[in-house]
Amino acid sequence: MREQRRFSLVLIELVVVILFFALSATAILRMIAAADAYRRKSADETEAMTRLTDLIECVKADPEGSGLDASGIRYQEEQSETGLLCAVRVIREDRLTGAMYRIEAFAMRGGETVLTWNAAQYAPETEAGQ
Amino acid sequence: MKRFPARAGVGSSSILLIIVVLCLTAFSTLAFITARLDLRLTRETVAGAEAYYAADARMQERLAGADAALRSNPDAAGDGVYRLTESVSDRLQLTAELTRAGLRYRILSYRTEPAGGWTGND
Repeated sequence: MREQRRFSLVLIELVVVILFFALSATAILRMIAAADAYRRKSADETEAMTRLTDLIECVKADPEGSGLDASGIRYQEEQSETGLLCAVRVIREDRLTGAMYRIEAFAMRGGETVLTWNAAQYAPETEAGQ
Repeated sequence: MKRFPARAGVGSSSILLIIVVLCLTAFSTLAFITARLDLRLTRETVAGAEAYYAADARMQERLAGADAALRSNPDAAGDGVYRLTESVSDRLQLTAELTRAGLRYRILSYRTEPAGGWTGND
């Protein structure tokens, strides 16, 4: 009789323990999922920043690249192995002493914009090829 | 043959559960805090780079303006070194040093530097 009572006590405790573990595991898993989401976002933004900086510096070094279209615009994009799409649009504005190139750069992943930056590069007329 | 009593009594599973849940909570909290701080640091770095390119764009505009001003009035400018600054952040500024070269300015230096200057004990 005493053994049976002890057995049922252990059983009740086990049920309570399993229920409590299930509840706390849910909260812990949600916290780990949130940490993972933050980590992914951070990795995305770091990659976007690195690639956009690289792209902008390449454009600033050679704004016209392979050539502008008739309206003075050049568009260039590249996709990384991780699926991040980085694109840059260069718009040429003629000035009295040369050209100002407006650079719009953005990084996208899965249709969602990760970063958008604007930059500019002034090229005096000898460098602008006028 | 002597029979040993079962060691696992009432309460042992509760103690084990408390230890496991405490460990999991500690590790998941650390992972969460680390990831959040990492994201914050990344965003500060991204904001810094964005501010740099914004200051750089303003500086390029000023360079174009300086060349245009020199072209329209060549006698107004001397042969000295001109210094242009654009603020990047509270602590950083973009500085360009120019000198006249014919009908345009030549850039002698183009750099970011501390906004408040630098002293030896900094």
